[in-house]
Amino acid sequence: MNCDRTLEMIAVADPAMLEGALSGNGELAEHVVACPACADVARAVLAKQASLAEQLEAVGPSAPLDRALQAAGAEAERRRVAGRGRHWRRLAPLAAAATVAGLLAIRFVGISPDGGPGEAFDRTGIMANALQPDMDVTAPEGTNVAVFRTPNPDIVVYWFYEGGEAR
Amino acid sequence: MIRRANSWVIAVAVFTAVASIAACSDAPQLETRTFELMYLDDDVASELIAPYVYFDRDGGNGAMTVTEGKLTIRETPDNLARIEGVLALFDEPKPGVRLTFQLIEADGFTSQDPAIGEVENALRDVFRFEGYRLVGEAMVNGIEGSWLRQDIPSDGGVVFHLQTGIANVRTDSEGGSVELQVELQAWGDALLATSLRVRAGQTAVLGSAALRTGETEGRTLILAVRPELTETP
Repeated sequence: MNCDRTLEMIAVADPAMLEGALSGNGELAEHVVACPACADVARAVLAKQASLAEQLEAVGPSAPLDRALQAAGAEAERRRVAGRGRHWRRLAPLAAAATVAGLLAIRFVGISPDGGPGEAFDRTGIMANALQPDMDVTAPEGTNVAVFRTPNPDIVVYWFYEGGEAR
Repeated sequence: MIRRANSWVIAVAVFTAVASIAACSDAPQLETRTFELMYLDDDVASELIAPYVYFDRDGGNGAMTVTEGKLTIRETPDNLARIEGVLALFDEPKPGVRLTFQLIEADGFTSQDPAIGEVENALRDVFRFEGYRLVGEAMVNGIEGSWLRQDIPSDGGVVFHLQTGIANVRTDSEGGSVELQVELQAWGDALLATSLRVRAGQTAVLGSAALRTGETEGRTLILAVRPELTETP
């Protein structure tokens, strides 16, 4: 497996798959373990997924999504400044490989049955998802985009928000 | 001695002649044809057809040139027939595009609007807004390369200006897709601007267009767009 193929797979991998690859298990592991550049990208994507999941949990189940995303973006921005943009530079090959200008794409599965206030989302499906077929969207400068697949396969939500490190 | 030498000369001559005949029979019969491209761009046609041309065949290379909508190919008759079939399949006019827009305002609305039922159900599974209402609708028709403008008046007297570019139309066995550039404006500001590719028949829900002017500050606008491919106008 070469770097291009590995980066494509990293882009659509869920957290468990990425953790497995970094610890030497699974389909990606053989290349990731031997390739420091791809390992860096896998770690960066995994960290991003974890950060986003953490922020969404912290904001609470009844908070508006854009507030959650803004909080996630603020945290990402804080880390970006602290790390002087290292994460984004690590992700640059991934972004170049993708046709998606926005960094983040999220999929929620197992949504609350009635969608009413106070019901918790199941966030187990959060994933970086930059290379989904036909998912080709450009966020305006200075914004990120989150992509939500809905239970209706014919409806996809693209949510733009300010902040974050994908600039 | 002389007789033996003559025998060798004759044998070599015969061998050479037989080898020549064999070589001739192995060389492919090549023909040259020029196809007129009716709809495909030169570079697209070139990339589409190049894999069918044997540029490095032993005994007779194929060749291809394309210029000003004329694709000239030197190949075997059976290969030319295949190429003709490929062009017949793909050198077709691109379909027209019908775009249906729904401008939706989120939050604070308790009644369900049947006009946005499908989108609202999907949004309720993703977002935590209390409710949604339809602000306005628009339908536009265009073709690849079109730049369309449409005003969407709202109940409150505000007119939203919608500009849409149909950048690319792609047909495929699953219904095709459309690359769009979408910009929503009001009060002289761009509320939402993006480019995206959407599958035909699929609805892309774009949010949020933040309203920060006067009494609308803090309210959230969502733009749903659904492209459909139509017969070429």
